[in-house]
Amino acid sequence: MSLGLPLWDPGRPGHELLEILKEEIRTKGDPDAARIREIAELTGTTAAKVRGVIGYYAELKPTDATVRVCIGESCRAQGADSVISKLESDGETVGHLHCAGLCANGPAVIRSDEPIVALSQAGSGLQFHLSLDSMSLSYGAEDIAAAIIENAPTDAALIRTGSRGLFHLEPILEIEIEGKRIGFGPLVSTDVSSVISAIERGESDSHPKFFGAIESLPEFASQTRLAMSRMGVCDPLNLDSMKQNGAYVGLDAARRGGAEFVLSELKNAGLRGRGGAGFPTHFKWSAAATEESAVKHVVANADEGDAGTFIDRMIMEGDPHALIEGMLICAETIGANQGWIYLRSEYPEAKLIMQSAINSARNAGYLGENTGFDITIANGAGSYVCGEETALLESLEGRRGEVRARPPYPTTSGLFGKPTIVNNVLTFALAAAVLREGSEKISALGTDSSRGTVVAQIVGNLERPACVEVPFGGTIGELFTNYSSLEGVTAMQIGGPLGSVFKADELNEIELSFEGLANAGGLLGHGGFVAYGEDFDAHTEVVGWMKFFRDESCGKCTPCRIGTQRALELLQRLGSDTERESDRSLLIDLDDIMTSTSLCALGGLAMNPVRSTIARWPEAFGGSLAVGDNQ
Amino acid sequence: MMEQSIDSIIMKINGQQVSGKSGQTIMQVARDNDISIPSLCDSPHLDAFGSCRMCIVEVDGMQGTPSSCTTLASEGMEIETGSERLWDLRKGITELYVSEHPLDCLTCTANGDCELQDVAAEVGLREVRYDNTPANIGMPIDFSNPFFSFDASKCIVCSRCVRACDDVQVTHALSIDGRGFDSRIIAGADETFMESDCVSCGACVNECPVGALEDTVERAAGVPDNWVRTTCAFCGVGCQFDVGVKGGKLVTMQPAADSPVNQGHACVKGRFASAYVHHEDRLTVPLLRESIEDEFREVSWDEAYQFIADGWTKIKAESGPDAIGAITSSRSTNELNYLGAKLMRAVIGTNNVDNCARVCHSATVKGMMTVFGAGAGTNSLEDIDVTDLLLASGCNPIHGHPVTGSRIKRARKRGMKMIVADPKKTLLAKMSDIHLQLRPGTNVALYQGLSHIIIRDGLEAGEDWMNTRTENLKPYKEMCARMTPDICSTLTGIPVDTLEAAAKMYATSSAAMSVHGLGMTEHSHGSEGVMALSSLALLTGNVGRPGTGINPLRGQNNVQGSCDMGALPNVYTNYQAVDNEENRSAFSEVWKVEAPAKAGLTYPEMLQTVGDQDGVRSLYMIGSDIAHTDPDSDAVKRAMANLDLLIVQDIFFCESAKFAHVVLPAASFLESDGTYTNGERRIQRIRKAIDSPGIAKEDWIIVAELAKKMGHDILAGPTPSDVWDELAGLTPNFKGINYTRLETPQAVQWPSPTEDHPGTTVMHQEKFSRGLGNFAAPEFSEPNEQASDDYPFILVTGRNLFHYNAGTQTRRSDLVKFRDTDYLEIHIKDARRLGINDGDEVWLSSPRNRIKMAAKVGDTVRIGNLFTTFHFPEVGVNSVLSASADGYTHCPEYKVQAVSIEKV
Repeated sequence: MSLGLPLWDPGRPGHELLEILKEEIRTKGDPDAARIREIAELTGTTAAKVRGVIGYYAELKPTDATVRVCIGESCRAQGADSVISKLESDGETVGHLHCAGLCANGPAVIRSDEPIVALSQAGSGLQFHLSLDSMSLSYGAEDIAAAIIENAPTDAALIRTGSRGLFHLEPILEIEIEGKRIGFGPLVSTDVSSVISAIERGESDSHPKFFGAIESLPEFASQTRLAMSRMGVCDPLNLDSMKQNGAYVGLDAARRGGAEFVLSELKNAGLRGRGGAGFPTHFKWSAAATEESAVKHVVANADEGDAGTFIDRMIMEGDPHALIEGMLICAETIGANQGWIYLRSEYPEAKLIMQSAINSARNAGYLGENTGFDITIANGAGSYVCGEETALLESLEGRRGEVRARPPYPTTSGLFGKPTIVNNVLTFALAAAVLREGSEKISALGTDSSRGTVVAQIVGNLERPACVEVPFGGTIGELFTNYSSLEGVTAMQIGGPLGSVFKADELNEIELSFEGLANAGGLLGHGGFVAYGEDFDAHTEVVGWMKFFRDESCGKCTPCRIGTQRALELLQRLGSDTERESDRSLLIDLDDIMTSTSLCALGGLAMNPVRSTIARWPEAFGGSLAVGDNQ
Repeated sequence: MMEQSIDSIIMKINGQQVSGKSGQTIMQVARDNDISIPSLCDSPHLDAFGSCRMCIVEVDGMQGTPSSCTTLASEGMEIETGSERLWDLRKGITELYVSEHPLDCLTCTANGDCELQDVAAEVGLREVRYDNTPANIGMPIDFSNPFFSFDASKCIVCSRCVRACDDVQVTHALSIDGRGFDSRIIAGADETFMESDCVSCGACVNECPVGALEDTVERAAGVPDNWVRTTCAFCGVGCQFDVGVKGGKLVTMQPAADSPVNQGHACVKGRFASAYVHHEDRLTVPLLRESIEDEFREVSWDEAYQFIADGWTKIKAESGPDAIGAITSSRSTNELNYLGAKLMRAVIGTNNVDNCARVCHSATVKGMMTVFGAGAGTNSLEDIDVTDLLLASGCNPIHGHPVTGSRIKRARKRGMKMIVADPKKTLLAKMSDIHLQLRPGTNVALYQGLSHIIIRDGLEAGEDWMNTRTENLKPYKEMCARMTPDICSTLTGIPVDTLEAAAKMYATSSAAMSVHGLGMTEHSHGSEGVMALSSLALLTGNVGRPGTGINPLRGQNNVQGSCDMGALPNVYTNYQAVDNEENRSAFSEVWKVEAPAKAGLTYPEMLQTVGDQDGVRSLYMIGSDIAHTDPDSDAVKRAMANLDLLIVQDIFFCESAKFAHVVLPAASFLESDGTYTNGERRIQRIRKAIDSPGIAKEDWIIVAELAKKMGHDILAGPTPSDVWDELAGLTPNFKGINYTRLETPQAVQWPSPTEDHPGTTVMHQEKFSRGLGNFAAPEFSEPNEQASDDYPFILVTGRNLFHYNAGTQTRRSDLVKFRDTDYLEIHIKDARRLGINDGDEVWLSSPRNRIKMAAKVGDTVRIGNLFTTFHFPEVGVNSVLSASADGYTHCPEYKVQAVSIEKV
């Protein structure tokens, strides 16, 4: 009962089944029928349900891979294919994964599922600040950490923070001197001793990697960091430090104001969900608040599956209390007693830090059974569709991640049939920011219908990848001018794999907002911008997308289940000598069927990157699909 | 609890104004208004799923093309179901489906009965521009199940089978393996259906829109040429079926969706196992022999009747009418049971008539009669859908009453609380909130112990209820006061904490319903157990309201009816006492004879008198096989062999026929007209669908012709309806019921005293049948059978899903492929101690006999207990059992038998 499970339903064994199966398959391989029956007995379900779950999730397959390489869009744009070839020629067995959230520093090559525990050191002397964000680790932050511990004075402190998001400077080392931080980067471990000696000599500004106070950099100073306000500033695992920097201030405001106040603040701030659909948050919360139920759930969707996006990971690693605070505000507003973070398994560091933050929030009396609300982390098991809220709920119930038809909406009948709020991690962090900053301040930012800030994750084949938080508005071209560059960019996919693909020169005309992208025939999604360079191969990419959708289709609705397979066959033929006379008209018809009748956004948007790419690079497909198709 | 608003809403579909109910989807409103919307994944029996996307519509003011199965209808909606755009999209989806489906329609078993074919025709699909590559082509067809096959290549992955298994049958035996285009329906851990948890209820087969899941018999026979609605002749649930017949042969039994009893569901027996009617073992002609030393010879009906009539006339002249007796059948119709009783009373002149309910629920009748004044189930199956808590005592409906078992599981899913009292850790017990795993034979202690806690904590019903609806509370309280939790725990073996929790859960539920089975009745103190259970309900006010009451799960199809019909030695129809002069004169008047005044003997008593000076010399047994089913069966057989004239009327040459002088070939239920009454007092028709083999005849006709041969016409008219009208006229509670009223799917639940009385779903609402509810306070006594040094184990007997009572029918069907013998279940700790491994042959012994059985080692029975079924006469379980029985009703103590076990 404590987890809000129903009294009896073998069809909903709970998320524990996925964890048990992962461990079972990792250590003992694919279970036989007898073992499946034992697991079914243990988890209160049946052999068929266990086998069905095993058959659904990509991670519940035994693998002999010695290394995994990310084949997400950003890593593909950065040459994942050639890395894979190289590894294979070295005799490695290469497994694939679809986005490790390390998009700025691709192609990501993963050798272990075990989280890296960031090194740190207490001390009262010099304060070294170094990011523990996975992206920073991929840039070599742990080498820097080791060099600091080796070279710094013994009373020096190594404090691990989140990432500032300016990846071209990573790894960044910030050192606090007389209450002010000065920064160095991008560093290699051999720089550390020279940085320390420069500081000791009082000549830090003469060091070649010196860039001064990060706040003084224009690409930092020009941001409006609401969700990212504490990221890179303080230790995510140090609750006191987080609180000194504003954590749980929003919760206090929410508690003072009550549920009605929270809902009106969210409404006035114009907060819309950041998972992709942009649904007004206050509508959702109001709907769940009016439901009468002894059990309600708050679920954070941390199944950040869109390659090219990673802000949820950065929040969980760099400011986990922002998520906890947002979920708590939601719980108190709707009257929920159980919280869940559905966290994709590709984020082991995020899980480690998030769990540690939950523990400290429990110790501080924010969470726990006696407070009336607690949070459980549940890991995904390899399914893109599980980022869709109803598929996510199915997965949390220990089921195959098949999308549910709506209505009923989760606010009425969600997890285990109880009223449930599912919001993206970033949405929860922004909800906390709204309560902390006040709706007036937030609603003053952005455009008429896209208020507040957007977290733009700018990655791919770029010199200057970045993650920045800026007010909605302006053009995408300006975004790149301010924080990166469009030089050498051939194509850009915005809003994840289902997003439309644009040519670089179009971007100066597209407003950075939900509506701006929609008007341009695209979508903002979760705020991912993946740039492709001159080696962009339109046909290969289109086939790659459709193959991804075919592989990830849950198979529930027919247009997606069969349509993605048929679309893949058509696209493989298109423009080649195997193309048939009817293929183009058939593809147009199939586009209409999938787009108009699919149950969820996977099937509904699967033709989006295809259609937009063929329209812009018709020569790669033996010509355009039809006259008048210019999307 | 599901609350569906019944507010009416008005909308337009295709310009036509239609009305629906608030909470309905567009699809439901359209269906109710006979507007067809194409669909492949939707089914009226299942929740909306929204996967096929064929049922898309256009709604004014809504974007795109929402699916009608998942979109709620609302007031003022304007809906278009057939625009060119919609048909284009549907055609496109169908083209996708067909691109993934084998193109062998002409030879497909579903040809003509395929929803994909229908949809393709409806959308006008004329070409498929994709390559035809079915995802699961080449998968071997699963023929493992004798009743249906599964061909994955033809499957369209609509999940209707999975949903039916999950949400209707609630076995969860099916799922999908893989995902996306590679999705494939699987049974169990991707095994054959026979290896999986599948219980072969057929719900998936009925839902399959294409030829993937196919009924084996239908597959071979093709489309039936005639359909007849009838009532299932297995257990007492009373499921309604449409019988599909072709060329005089049974093709299929389709569960009726419009029946409130089974709501379109069935179990393996009802759905698939009635094929026994065509078994080669069927009796086709009367058989006769002068002595049981002789061989039988085939004779004409007339010769058989004459032989019996002569025999009875002689015996009656020599020894009086009470030397003759009849055992009628809970498996045959109300009309047969009434006529069987009338034959004995009006023609022979004895009240020596009884029926096989004697050995199952007679204790229920006694116990409930004592407390409530009526021996029938107080409530209805539909109450399971609304009750807050179910107390299931001594029953295993998942095996014994599978359709009710599924209904209970569905209720569990909606959050109904459940307490199970059973010595065995049954599947039902495993899915309960509280399992009271009591020592066999301690029912009285258990229910009085629960009452003790309820009274102690002040959780009983209020004073108003006690004062206006009950009597004898004080002696009851005094009796319960002695059954402290400690004493109760010592007697029952249930921990005190568990007793406390169960008492609180039961007493604090808003409505608590009790169902019970033979685990309550087949005891030496069975009647007292039912009294204790009924008094517990009375104490908490859990009777006379929806979702409450005491509800016996009747074992055979017409246990309720055979007793209602007065096929009992002491009562006429509906329990009107034979020793009441008013009753006797009423019956005498209609029967135009002087009915005998002296109550007759129960059939165990009749058997005991055989060979005595003034004992029973002739028995007429209709549709019961006591040589197999009764305890101490060797003694039973000895008595039968001593009879001067034994007549056995059956559809098969059963064990008892081996001791008969005359064997009369009877018609099966599919060959008969009449009525059965199910466990919720619902009187339902059976209708003749096929002809009997040979010259076999319907039970009631044989009885009437035999009476005629004795010189009496006991038929009020030529049809069973005439028989019914006569008995209803003599029975106040049936007076309003006639065959015309039984034509509706819901039929009529008695009492219905007048034609305009709708029948009764919940009895005892204003007052109890006896006036006030009577707290019965029997004192707990130990069972007659006690474990000893020589016989240290207590054997409990029961039923298995795949067989039915004597197994006469089920053993003559493919059900033997699921189970072909009786096993002896033993706890693993006892087994280890005795060196018995799973599957070992063991001797099961009692002072009466010893038999060989295969042991089944597990942890479902209590330590010190054994469990077995008695479906297979060659195993002979009943020869081990003693004749010990309930003191009031002679219902045998099948549930508590002292035995020993040893490895062969």
